[in-house]
Amino acid sequence: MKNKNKISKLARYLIALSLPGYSDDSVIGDYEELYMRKLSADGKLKAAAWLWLQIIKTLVPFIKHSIEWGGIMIYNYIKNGFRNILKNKIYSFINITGFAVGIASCFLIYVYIEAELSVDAYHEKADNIYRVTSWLNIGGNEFNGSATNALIAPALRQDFPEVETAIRFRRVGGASVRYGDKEFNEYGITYADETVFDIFTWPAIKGDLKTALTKPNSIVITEDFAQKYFGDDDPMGQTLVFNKSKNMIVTAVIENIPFNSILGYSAICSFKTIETPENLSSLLFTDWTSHNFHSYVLVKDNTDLKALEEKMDKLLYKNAGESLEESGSSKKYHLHPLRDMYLNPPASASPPITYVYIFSAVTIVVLLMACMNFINLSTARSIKRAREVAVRKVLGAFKYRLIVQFMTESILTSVIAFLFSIGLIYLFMPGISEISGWNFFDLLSEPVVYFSGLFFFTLLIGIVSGFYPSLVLSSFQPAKILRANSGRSSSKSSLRSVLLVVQFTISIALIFSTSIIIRQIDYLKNKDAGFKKEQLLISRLPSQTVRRSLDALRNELATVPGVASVSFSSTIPSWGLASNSKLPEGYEETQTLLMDEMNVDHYYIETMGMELVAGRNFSDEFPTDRHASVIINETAARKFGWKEPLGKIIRQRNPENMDEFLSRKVIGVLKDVHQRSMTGEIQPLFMISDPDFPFSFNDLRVVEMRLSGGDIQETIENIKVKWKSLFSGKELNYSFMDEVFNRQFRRYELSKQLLSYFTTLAIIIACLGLVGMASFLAENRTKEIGIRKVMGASVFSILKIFIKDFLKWILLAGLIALPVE
Amino acid sequence: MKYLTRAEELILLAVVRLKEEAYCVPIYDLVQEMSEKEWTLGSIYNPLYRLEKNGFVKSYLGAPSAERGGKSKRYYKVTKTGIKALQEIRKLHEQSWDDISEALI
Repeated sequence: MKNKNKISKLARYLIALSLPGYSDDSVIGDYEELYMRKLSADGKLKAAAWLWLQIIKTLVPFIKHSIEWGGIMIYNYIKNGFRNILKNKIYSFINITGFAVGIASCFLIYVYIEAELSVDAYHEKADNIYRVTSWLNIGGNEFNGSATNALIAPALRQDFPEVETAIRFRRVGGASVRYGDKEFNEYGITYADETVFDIFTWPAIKGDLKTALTKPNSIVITEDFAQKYFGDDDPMGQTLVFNKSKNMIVTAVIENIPFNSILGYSAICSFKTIETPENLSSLLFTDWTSHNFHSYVLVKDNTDLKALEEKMDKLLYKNAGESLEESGSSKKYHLHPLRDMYLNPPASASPPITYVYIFSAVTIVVLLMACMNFINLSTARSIKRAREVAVRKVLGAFKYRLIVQFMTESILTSVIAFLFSIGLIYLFMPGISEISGWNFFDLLSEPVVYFSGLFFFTLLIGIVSGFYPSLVLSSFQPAKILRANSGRSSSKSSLRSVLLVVQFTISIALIFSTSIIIRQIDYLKNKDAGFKKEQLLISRLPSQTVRRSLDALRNELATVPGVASVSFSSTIPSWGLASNSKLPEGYEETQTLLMDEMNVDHYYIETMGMELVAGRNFSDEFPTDRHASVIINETAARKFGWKEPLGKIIRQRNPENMDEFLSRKVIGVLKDVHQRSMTGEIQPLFMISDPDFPFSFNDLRVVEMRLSGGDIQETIENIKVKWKSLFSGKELNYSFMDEVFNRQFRRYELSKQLLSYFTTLAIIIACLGLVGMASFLAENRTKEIGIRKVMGASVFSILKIFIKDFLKWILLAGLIALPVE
Repeated sequence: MKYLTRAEELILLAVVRLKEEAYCVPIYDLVQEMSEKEWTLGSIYNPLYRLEKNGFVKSYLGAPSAERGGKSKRYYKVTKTGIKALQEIRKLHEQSWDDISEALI
């Protein structure tokens, strides 16, 4: 007989919930009986109302009650947990600290790695963006170039169906930019073709990106740039004056380019601006074998890159095959993914991504060690407390309660460790920001996500480390424990020994590797670079300083007290140099050689502390030096096979007329200098002193000032004053040569410091583990010690026994570590 | 020894009065009648449960009845201990109210 008016399932569930005590359905039956009564007496509505009123009135106090008591229980567990933690202050401190430090470090490294991997990943089409690079082979020298000519990008865009679009970048170089009364030197501006915004994701705040760069003399600026020049005014349509002569109109404003991007421009000018008739007919724009632009291409999905590269090669050879053959060189295009440009640059010997791998590995290892330790120590300690557990059980504690008790303690410990690690993270942030070059405060601008992840991880470890001992312990037979010698379980202690050995092996291995790497890095840093980098101030001349007045400038600057000598050059060591093919005497016209080029004044060699091993410096006494002389370095002389380099001729094609050759005579040989970096082979150097040299890349724009010791600060102040007076109030922006030069080691520095740090950390953790184990074992063997003492053993002999055991392990660890090296 | 609470006392008295038919629903009705107030089923059950735990009352399941859709009823019966508790509380009441005249309240 089905009763259609039964109480709903939900009602029944709630009734059963709020009335614990009777587990049969007589209770439901009672409710139903009353419900039926109400139903026939007052109708469905009133009956339902009565029913639900009953339910709520019982449920609410029940919930309140449960919460109240539940709260008291939890409070009690926590109170007990704290008491236990404080009871063993040293142990708890070691545990928490070791864990917190390990976690904090690994967290920071994780954030660092994530940042490194995120470079330029934000572009929507990032996976299809490639930089056009090429493999060059000039006279037998392999060379990987990141720059291209001006022609390949437009060709890609127009004639290649698998290409969505392609653009060129060309840096504006140092330029003075003025709006109203605001004028600054800008170095982060580039020219770019109009479809640049179709490739890179730089959203606009104002203006239409589709048309922003279609006309010449247009400029798209970033937020910060707008703020700098226009403040709160609307920049749209305003005019910025470049180098006092060129007007650029603001056509759009874009969001700041994220800091994790290799294309960190502050503004973009339209490429059409430099596509003037005279430029277009110059070699800059017509020579297929030149490398003066950076080209990027956006390909369609699933494009066959190899096929595309081959097509590009064909096009290259169609246009420049002859001249390439004539100079005895070959060139192959290579499309390098944008995502790889930072970590895996085309021309790098040891790509930074190896560091990412190394750090990841080290992080995981140390993290594992920290967790192992934490679990280890917790477990060992809980076993020590087996006696306490046994007593409790005898006195009638529920197994459930015990488990909860231990779990609470362990979770409490890990929560405290978590809080502690957050403090540590913020403590280390400035340091690691400095070393790694990433601003961690920016990276962690939304800490909630990161920290909750960290919290859950810490919690997990806490649970895991509490789980094992609590389960095991609460199922111990009390009698067994109280009777025997405080719970030594053989299987567990061998596991722990293994863990310890592993920890020590890792530590020893880390010590070895770190010391090797540190030695190598220090060697590099202290190696003689070929010039004196100390006390050398470097700056740039503001915009287009008239070249003829360089002598006057130099004389003025040299009068500043504290300045020993002044010189100008196109570049300085570690800033990169141009590299072009030359024809040394004795070589066939097809055997050109690539030489590093730089343009200097007569005082460069002296100011930099470089040396000539043969011949003479450029000099005013020889006016032909300007157009007809060149200084080479030892490497060049050696490579050319010249025993007597002085007087030899080196020729190069006239950039303004490719059929002609320009000749220069070698007047001096410079002692080798590491002009590019301390690693890598020194390239042959072609050093000229020609203020009229046509390419702006070789303008004499860098100033070097040798300081003569004494009060550096004062000298700098004096220079600043003089600078202002020479350059109508402009501020002096300067750096020191040793800082600049050492920037190439930044990555090595980072590795060195991180590795040292992690090694220390690993050792500390391993030692902590050892301490924990030692104390545990010592306590375990209290009886044994007692007996030995009674039998007359000296303290020393007892110590010997213990030490022997530990040494055994450490030696084992060492033996394992050595072959690993 | 702990005293009965007022609710427990009332419910226990209802159980006594209902003799054989002392299950939840009649107890619920009777108690509401006796106190002239509205009670919830929960406030009948919980004291009953406590009373049973303390040994003042004994419960047993009756036969499943068709009208309840197969569910049985739980019947309650006062125990000797329960009677003793009732007597104690009665004595306590009489002794405490003995001299208090209407005028004082």
